[in-house]
Amino acid sequence: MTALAWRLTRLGGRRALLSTGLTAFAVAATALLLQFVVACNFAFVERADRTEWREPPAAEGGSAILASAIDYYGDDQITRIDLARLDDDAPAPPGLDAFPAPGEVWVSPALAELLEGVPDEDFLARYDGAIAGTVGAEALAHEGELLAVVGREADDPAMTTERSDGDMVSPRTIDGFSGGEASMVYGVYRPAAIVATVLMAVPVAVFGAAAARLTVARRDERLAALRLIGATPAQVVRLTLIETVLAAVAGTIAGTLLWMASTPLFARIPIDGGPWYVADLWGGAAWMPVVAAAVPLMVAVSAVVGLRGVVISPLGVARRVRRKGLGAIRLAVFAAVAVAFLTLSQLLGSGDMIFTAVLLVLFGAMIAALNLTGPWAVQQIGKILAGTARGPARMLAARRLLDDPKAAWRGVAGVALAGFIAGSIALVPMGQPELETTATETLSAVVDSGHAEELASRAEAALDGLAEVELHERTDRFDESETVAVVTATTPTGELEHVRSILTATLAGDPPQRATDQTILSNQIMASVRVGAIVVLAVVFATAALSAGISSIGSVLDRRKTYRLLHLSGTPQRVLDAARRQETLLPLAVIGGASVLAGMALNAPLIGSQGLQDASGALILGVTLAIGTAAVIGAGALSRPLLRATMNDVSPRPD
Amino acid sequence: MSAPMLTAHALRKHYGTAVALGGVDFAVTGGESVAVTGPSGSGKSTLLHCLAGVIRPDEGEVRLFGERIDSLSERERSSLRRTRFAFLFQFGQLLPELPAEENVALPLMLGGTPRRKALGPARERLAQLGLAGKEDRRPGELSGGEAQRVALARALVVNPAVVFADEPTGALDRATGDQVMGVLLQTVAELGAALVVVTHDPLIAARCTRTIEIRDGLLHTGEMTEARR
Repeated sequence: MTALAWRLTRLGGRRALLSTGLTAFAVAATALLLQFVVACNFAFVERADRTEWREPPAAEGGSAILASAIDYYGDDQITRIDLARLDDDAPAPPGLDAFPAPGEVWVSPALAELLEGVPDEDFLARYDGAIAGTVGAEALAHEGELLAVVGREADDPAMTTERSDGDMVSPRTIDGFSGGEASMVYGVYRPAAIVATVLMAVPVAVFGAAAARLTVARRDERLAALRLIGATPAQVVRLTLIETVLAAVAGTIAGTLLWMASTPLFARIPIDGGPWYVADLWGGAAWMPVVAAAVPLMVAVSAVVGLRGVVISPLGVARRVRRKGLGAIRLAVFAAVAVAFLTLSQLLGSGDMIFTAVLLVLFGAMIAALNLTGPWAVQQIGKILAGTARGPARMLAARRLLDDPKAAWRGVAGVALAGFIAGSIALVPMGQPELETTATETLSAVVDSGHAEELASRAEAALDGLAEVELHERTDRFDESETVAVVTATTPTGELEHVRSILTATLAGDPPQRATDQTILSNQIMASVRVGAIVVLAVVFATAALSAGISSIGSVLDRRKTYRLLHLSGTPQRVLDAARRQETLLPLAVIGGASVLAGMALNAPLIGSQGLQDASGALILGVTLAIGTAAVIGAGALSRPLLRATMNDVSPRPD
Repeated sequence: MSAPMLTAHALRKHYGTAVALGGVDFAVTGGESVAVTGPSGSGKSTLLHCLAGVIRPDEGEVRLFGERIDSLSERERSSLRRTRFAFLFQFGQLLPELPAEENVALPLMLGGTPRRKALGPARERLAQLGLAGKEDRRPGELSGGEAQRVALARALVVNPAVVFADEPTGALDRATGDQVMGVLLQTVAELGAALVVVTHDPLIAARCTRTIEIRDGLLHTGEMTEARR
């Protein structure tokens, strides 16, 4: 049977090979993108795992003291780990050759680069030490991370002063660096990665499944012929499956190999302030075979579904009976899923894992339901156009939409799904406030209330007139019922880092911050969200463009005979091109627009509409519109030479 | 006898090294029907395509009402095929997604007639060919003979000067084929148009006013009687 299927593919001529090749190509793209989508989740885990050593559990009678702090330099945030040895058993922390001795400062490569040429008084003076070495990759979230490990004496004030900021670790005794908690930002990124996974995986999977129909559609006629000469339905299904799965397996292998080869490229995507270690993208390598097995399986299932018509009634497909209209039930399914999503998103607050998971599944289901509703909408558009068409191109387009709305939908599905996703993403706030530059800067640091006066005067003495020092009482940022003592230092902007270094060394606890420094982290998260949004949009639009291109070529192949005969009877290619343009652009304008609006309307209650108020949302929508339209027009242009070749093919026996 | 409508002189056409036409002369006048017969691969279809301006001959010339058409641009030949010629094939020339009346109206619409106006003559043609009441059917919902009559209606709706038919009854049973052929000959005669039919079928050839036979790209006029057998 396999031998026969292979013969049929091989002997099917150039066109059959072309369509099988297109399927393989589409599946390769699907596999590549799915491997990426799955891998990025594991990559975040890898990153998070490498931050765990910075917050190990407290252990009584441990061998070392650990504390951490968040330092700032200019517009950058630096993670500082303070370590003091209590006895000789203290193990070396990850990334360091030995436990850092007092006065040793170990820096990450990115920090070393940042500090190049920076005078010691502007930075290194805060740690009262000298650079002793470079922190290895196994202790860093990513290669761009700014991290300093500072060795101190156990009685150094930095090892005894409590931190008031919850993101920092107050001094604690430890006996090792394992079993700790990952950096809290990965608590933000990992769920975001899962959301991105759903956003990308559903359209990619829809595209992969549609690719199967390409081969099947091309086979319709021949399979019906096989049925007519007495092949059993099971034989027909098996033949097609073998042929499609052969193409899918080849595509999957190619796509997976391409993914493996291109991991260094994907690793350059900067998230959380830096690119990835290539090894992180291999963190989920165990899942690669699972994805590689799932893709051909999905293609096979899609092929079987596409074959139902042929198997049930070979005569019907061979003779092209009027197809049954698509029911409005499709719209009802979408509406039901949308209502469920809206209701659930209103019911409960966020935070509940199961609730969030269900919401995510529903969002994915909504995208899938949109794919179900699309053909119905295409058919409605066809009905309206067929009633109002005056010219031949419009009439041909309208009849085509009416006759095979599913095929017409395949041409624009990618862009419509991308529009839905872009509409959702445009709502996410991604704006970044500009950091203002002023003539003077004020640094403030929370200090121990009991020693506030003393610390303030020590700071004043250490600064020696460089800055104006004041002592305030403020409401605690983390617990509004408490007040805390705050030392502030106001200085000309040029002296900022110098003053900060002196204050940091003097006050020991929370490093001094400007008010704007607190936005650095949120800006970095926003920047990551922006990159994530761009990646998601790039993936869905790449999928959209591919699916538009492939279905455009597929539709020419499907109707090559008709096109040839139309050409013989004097139909100009211009008219056919116009008809083909209209049968994609008209539904695209209506459904694409509706998808963008639906994406916004359905997610607004959950996300809000802040994203629309800054430039990012409008930019996303504008670019979406431009790329989507360009993709579909480009796809049409891509298949024009094929159309010309097909039309002009008057060789005695075409095919 | 009136002057020929369509003439060809010394047509030659090669596909690679294979000779499809080796120097063929041809002429047909209005009201006349010519059957082109010959074994498979003899060059019948190539002759038809050259005469209809679908392909250009390597050598020789084709004239319609004395004007050369083989040297026209692709665009001009397309327009000519749409307005002065009409085609009838074995099957498949109807667009499956279009109802019968729109299939027939299509050539008029391609010529710039708005759909509403084009549908009038289309329905008239369909009615003349006995298809009243089936205007809304799609090709897949018609019998083979009906579909071929729709194709004929489409060929005739532009009032062509020459109708080219390539095995027009090849996909039909004998009785239906005879009927379609009868309608074709009758309506072409009524229009005063010329008909060129490529066929294997001696009975169809026998119903035409004249038969020519092509073998290996050359005309064998002397064997007319044998073809009529």
